Amino acid sequence: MEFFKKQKVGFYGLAVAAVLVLVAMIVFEVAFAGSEGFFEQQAPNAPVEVAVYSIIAIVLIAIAIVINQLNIEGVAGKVVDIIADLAIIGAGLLIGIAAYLTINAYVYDYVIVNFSDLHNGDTAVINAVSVAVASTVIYIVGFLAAVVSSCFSIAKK
Amino acid sequence: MKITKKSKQIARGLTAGFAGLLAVSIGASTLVTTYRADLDKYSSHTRFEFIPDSIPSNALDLYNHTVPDNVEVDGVKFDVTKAKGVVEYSRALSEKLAGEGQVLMKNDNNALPLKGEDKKIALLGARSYMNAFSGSMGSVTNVSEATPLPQALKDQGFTIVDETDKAYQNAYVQSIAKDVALTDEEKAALKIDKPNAGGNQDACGSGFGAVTAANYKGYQTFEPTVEALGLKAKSQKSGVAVVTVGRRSQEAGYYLPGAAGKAAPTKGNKNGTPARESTWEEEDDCLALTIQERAIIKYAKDNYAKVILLVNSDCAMDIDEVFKGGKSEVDAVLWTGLPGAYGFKATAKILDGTINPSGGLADTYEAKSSITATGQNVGYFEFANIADQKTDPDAYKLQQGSEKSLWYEAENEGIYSGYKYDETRYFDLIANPSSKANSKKGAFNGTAWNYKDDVARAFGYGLSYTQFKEEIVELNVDQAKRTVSAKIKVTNTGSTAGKHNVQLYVSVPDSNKARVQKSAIQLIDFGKTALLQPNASETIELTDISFEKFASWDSDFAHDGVKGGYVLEAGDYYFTTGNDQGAHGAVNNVLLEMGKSGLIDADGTAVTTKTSDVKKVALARVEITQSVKGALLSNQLEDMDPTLAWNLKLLSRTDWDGTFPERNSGLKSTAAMEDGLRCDVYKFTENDNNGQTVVWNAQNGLTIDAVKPAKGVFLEYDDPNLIALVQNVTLDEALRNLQCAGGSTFIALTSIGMNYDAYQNDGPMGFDGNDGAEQTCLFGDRNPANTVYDTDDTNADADNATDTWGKIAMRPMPTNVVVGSTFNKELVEESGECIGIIGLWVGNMAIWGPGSNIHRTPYNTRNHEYYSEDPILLGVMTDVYSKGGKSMGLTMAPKHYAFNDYDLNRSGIAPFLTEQDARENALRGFQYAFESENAMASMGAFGRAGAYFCSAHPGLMSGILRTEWAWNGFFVTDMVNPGYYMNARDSIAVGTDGMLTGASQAVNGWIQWNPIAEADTNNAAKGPIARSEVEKDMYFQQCLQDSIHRYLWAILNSNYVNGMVAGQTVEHKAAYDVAAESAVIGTAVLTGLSAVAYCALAVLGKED
Repeated sequence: MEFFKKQKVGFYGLAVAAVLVLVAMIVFEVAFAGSEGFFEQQAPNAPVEVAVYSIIAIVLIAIAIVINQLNIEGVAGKVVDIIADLAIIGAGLLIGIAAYLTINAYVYDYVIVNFSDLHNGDTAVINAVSVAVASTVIYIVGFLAAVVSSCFSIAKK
Repeated sequence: MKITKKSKQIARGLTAGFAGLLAVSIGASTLVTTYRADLDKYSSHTRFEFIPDSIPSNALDLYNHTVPDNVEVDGVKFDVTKAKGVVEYSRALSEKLAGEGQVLMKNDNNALPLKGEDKKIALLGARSYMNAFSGSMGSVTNVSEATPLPQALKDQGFTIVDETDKAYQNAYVQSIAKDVALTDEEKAALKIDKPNAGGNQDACGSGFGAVTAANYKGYQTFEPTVEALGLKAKSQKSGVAVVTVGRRSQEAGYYLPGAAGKAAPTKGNKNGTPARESTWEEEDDCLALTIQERAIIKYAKDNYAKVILLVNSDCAMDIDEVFKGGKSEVDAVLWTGLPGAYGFKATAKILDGTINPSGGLADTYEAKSSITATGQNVGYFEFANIADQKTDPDAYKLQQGSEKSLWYEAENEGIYSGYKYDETRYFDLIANPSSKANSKKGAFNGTAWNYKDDVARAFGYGLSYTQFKEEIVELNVDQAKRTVSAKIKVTNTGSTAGKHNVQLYVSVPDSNKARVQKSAIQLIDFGKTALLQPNASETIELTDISFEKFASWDSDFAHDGVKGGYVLEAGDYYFTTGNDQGAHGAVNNVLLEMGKSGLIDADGTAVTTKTSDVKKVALARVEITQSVKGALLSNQLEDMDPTLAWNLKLLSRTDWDGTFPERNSGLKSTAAMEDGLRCDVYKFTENDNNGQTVVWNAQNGLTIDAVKPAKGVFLEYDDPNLIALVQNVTLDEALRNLQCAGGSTFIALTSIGMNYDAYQNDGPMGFDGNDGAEQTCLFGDRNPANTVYDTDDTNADADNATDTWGKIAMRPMPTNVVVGSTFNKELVEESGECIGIIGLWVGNMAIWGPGSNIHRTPYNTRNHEYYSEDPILLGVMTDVYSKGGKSMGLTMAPKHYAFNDYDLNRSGIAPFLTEQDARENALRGFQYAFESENAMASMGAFGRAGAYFCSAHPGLMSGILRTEWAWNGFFVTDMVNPGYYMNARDSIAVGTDGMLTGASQAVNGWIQWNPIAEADTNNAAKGPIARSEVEKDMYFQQCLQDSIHRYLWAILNSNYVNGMVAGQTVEHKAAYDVAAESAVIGTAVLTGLSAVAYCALAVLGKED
């Protein structure tokens, strides 16, 4: 309990962001796998890339949180703080990249599903597009959570 | 510097936020660039324009292709230099096509035309109000232009009885209201006759994805019962009832025989789709009349003195019962087909006799299509060793979880589909009793096949309001030129003026029945008269009909060290015409000439006299070992032969009973099919292309404007300047073109001064696209040259609010079945010219059309895009339509080469058929337009050819298309889905030129065949094209350069080069270009500023 008493808004926001990124990543992987190869046609490496960027983003958030639990004084403390800040900035960048990569994978089929009849009856792809859009939305919410919470302190020193 | 902790955190947050937005902005910018062509198309953005100051005073002299000063339809002239003239011309031409294409299938006691009191009609059947004008996908009419049947009838002076009119409107609203709560206003807004391209009372299976045994979709339709309509019995039988029935057409759909083809009821919705609750008798298929349709015809017969049936369908229905002696027999039957936006005007004019019908059926109307030889193998077939494939990683890993190698269709009916089946079986029934043609197999009555019970109407059948006499006044067989020419005199012997189509048939000798199958009758050419007054005559000349058009492909014929070629057996050849009885009239003529008896017509009436002359010609054996282009003929498609792959019996005239096809389910894919099914065919090797160097980036100074042909000159494929120009293209451009050429654009090649894209659009009934969009309307100026060209018509201006002509979506033509049924080459050529004129206006240099697949079965819902079941009608119409378009500078692209004749699981299905069947039927649909070079582009099929992806089949592509036919047009696949199946490596290696992806730049994500990035070459399944592999493989480089060669040849002979002078264009960025670029710059700057602020605060600052 002491641990949580020590935490501030930034901690909770970043934790939520990390969870959302993880959820978004899983949702996207599910969508990609269910797209009958159509997403792969546009972005064959997207599952790997999205996963790598997402996991690194989560790790960076974790690093930032951990560092903010430490109470290092002096120059070393300042350097460690900067590392934590850079981790947060990096996480924001990577979440943005991951969000784009999800869009890139499904945008072509999104247009076909919504503006032509070519995917009529192709339930798997139609569902995959919907799920993939959901993953992007979750990424965006996670991104906003990360950005907003990074404007606040993470933990009491 | 003293700062607060808060300000550093805010700087941190802003930096993180803007960095993320920068990533998204860069991504968005990439997407905009990638899909630039499609964005331009759908937002009507004109990207390239001539720089006004650079337009020379003689600008119009630089136009290779211009619209004619005047065109005319039946004496009415149209000024097609004005948008108004183009629209009115297309309307008139379309109505004329529909008028000549609709077919009178029955007319007892001159029930038609309707005159005087008979013009007061009861309009029955839901389809009378919810008309289908076209397909609901693929060849979709512009409904804002459409005149529904009720309106067309009223315009023509008919009176529609209020009672039935209101009954259908009420039943329609009630069918929706029982499923959905509707306000009175919503009810009032629902109009049953609101035009809908496909007729929205129907639904049938559709989909781009996999259909399985578990997710079949059947057909269902809205047809209210007599009770629901509230129609009461009349006290006295009187008046005229017009009843309409029909079936839907659409791309990516399918009909299925049997119970699977009949869907459960569906609910209505507020959008105007009524509840669909039709039922069928158990023994009937979905192409037969529903119980409700049958009931409404009965109601009409019980209450009206005269019943006229309209058949509003491009898929031949099982409606034998409406003809003589049938339980639903009516007085007259008029096939309207899906006649386009203006076609019902022609219907109304036919009904009252203003137009005398002159069409002939493009398809046989069977009593029950599913029991014919072809019908045995229609539907869903899954390889029996799917489980093996799924568990064997080597076999199945290539499919990436998708299912592109699981379906097949083994077509062992051979050449006997459509009339070639019925008329040949009938011929043998009469002339060759030992052939067991009377077998119960395929017999509608279940006991013995016979013509009366099994065929409703023959191919080519078509009555008139007058009678015509046909005489073959001259028939010349030129053994040296290997051609036939005929003169056929047509005389109107009746009392009404009319046009008449002439169909010339041949019956070939058949002494080796067991080995090479031969149809008892074949169409070899056709023509049409002008309007003939009573007693007037016209002689139709049909010239230079190649022997090859009726020769038989003999796969065992050995010559020149190879096997396979065309043969005409020694013996007597009977040439005749069928008059209004079509193919059946012709075969009866031949049988009468042979002295046979016991002949009947489709109604079972005895036939004892010929409908026309028969010319008997004795020929010595003719062997055709070279193509028209001089290439050696040989078997190319043996791997597709189901009789070889699975030892299936081929339907043979020696024994109709013993060889009649059965349902070929449960077949297993074989080891020989493995590479094809795995889409793993071409292997990159290090080779020197037999010493022939491939030169790229020659930098010889030639640019495209310098190679542009002079006005009126056709640039030959082997023109030295063209070859030199091709060598200036870079390898990277050629690789990029693989995925950027075809579909919406032929992308610019800046290395040769081709500075703006060449635009295309889908066809064939006009230019597809959103109504009001630039790619389909006359205001469109997609070719920069047209900014000069259109200036003489201020009406055609996107910004002009009063522009009523320029903003009409130009999809004016009837569907191709109606067009084919005209049997009028000149008219169809003129419709090609009309499309070419529209192309000039819109700035489209190519159209993906006409549709040239064969009607193997009416269960294909996409038949509306193709002309006929007959290969000659199909092939000649493809050729003349292409000729018309080409004359206006439009690149015509027949689709889908080849065998794309059923859309169920079209992406992946593997049709297996004999080489004889392929060459004598499906391939003739394309052959003539390719040999004549009237078609200079083409689109491939979604499906396979045997086990290979169709565009990657070596024999079909390299062997037949590129070698035998020596065709140099640009060939693009259909829409790639996905890339490992429709893979570029295998396709380009055999003569395909482009992969239809919709991308405007190389998409780095397409690593499976990405031309620029290094691909995962170890994964053969993905069809990788790694640049490093291509650099070593000079043969493959030659294929790539051939693609560029064909690409530029088509472009340089098209309207694209209109007005082309180097350096005259300027590119206009669209709002989305500017927005994407601004977003990148803006977020980059803000990221930078935030980062600087953070650094300043974090490094230099001192926290409080």
